[in-house]
Amino acid sequence: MEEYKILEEKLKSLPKYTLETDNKKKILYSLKSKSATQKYTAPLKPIMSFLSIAIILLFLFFTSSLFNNFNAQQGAIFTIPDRNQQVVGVKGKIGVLVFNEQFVAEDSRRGAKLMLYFWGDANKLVGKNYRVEAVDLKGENIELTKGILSSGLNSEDAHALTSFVPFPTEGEWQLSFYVEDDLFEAFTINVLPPFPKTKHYTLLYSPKEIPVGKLAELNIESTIGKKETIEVKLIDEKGIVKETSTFKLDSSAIDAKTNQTIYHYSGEITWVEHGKWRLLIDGEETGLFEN
Amino acid sequence: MEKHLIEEWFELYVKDITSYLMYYTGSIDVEDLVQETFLRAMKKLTVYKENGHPKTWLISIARHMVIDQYRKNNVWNKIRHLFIKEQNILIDMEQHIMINQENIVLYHTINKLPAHYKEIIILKGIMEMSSKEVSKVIGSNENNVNVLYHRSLKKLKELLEEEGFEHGRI
Repeated sequence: MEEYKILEEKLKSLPKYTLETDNKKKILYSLKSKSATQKYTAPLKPIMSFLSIAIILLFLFFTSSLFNNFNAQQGAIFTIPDRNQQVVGVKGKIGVLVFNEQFVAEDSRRGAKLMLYFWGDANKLVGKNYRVEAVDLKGENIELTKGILSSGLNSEDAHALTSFVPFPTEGEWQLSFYVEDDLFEAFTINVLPPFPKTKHYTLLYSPKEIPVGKLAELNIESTIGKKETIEVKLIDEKGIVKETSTFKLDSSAIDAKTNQTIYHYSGEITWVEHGKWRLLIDGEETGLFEN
Repeated sequence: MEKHLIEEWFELYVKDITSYLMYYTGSIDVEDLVQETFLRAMKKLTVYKENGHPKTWLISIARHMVIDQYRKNNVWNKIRHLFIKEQNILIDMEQHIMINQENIVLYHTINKLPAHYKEIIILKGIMEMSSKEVSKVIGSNENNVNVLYHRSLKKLKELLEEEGFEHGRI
């Protein structure tokens, strides 16, 4: 190392630097202020994390009681032998006679003029008050109907002719049937998505009910009936027209609720596959729906 | 308590950190880097090991910081040498090193060294840190530091001779 002594001395003699006093003060000040704020944040961290965990736990605790774990069986579709009617419910206990054995969200048509059939001890049913409640997975609870049970028409022990209020949303719902406030039976159903509709027209089938790959006879309800025929186009997700069909006006009726005349058109469309679709009915477009 | 510690260290080591950063970056405008070094140190205080010396710890923080920044600006740094920036920095530093022709040449030559040589010359040669301290800063062992330092001196001497410095004077 001897030979580098002079060089080392030279290096040592190079000036050392420091900051100007003003700069030093500035940095010292910012260190002080930063450490002052840190003093508060440091103990805050565990408190904040504890609080957030507590909030999440509380939330879970409260919502867990709201989120229903349906304990009832799934409603079965069965045939009442003596009149060859298909109903949905629990064989030997309860049956609901509804078009296509399906309810559709936001729709009052299918819930109108329902038959409820009860099987059991006629003495404990006939003339008693009944009530039907529905609850969905989010805990939304609605009373579908209530009334007094009449005696059986055929094989059943009691029946009621009634209407359900529309289901507000699609998905799983549990129906509970009470007689004199005692639970008689409960089962779950899957409520289908709302009907595709436009300003004036409503397709009266839920797309999920329409079989794929074959010609389906369909009905469209309208609040206007000026035209004898209307054009219906099936459009895929990308906006490509897959089929154009003509629907004919075949009947009209007075809607009991609104006192308005409603018109029915019928025609045929084929869905070749499952997917997302729109209908263009007489120039009016429906929202996107899945089949 | 943490607060006082950092402030105390600032008073004690601001000169070392400033010198290191000035020589290492070749810029006199290191005020922000000095501040950032101490701020980072404050945040990392919990991982600071008592048995290490605060000076070497602080310098290693400064070192990591400038290396990080260098990596981030790597592309720009590579091309900026082709432009005027480097020139400006050198002029800045020359003005600071002041008047002494030998010092200017020496400084110029140090800047021509490969980065790892330059670093060891700054730490051990200019800042007069021990091999043990330097090994802490660059994360190596004393032996390696000594070997590296010797090579750096050799290289520096060669370059100085190329610059036309008389052998006897250095």
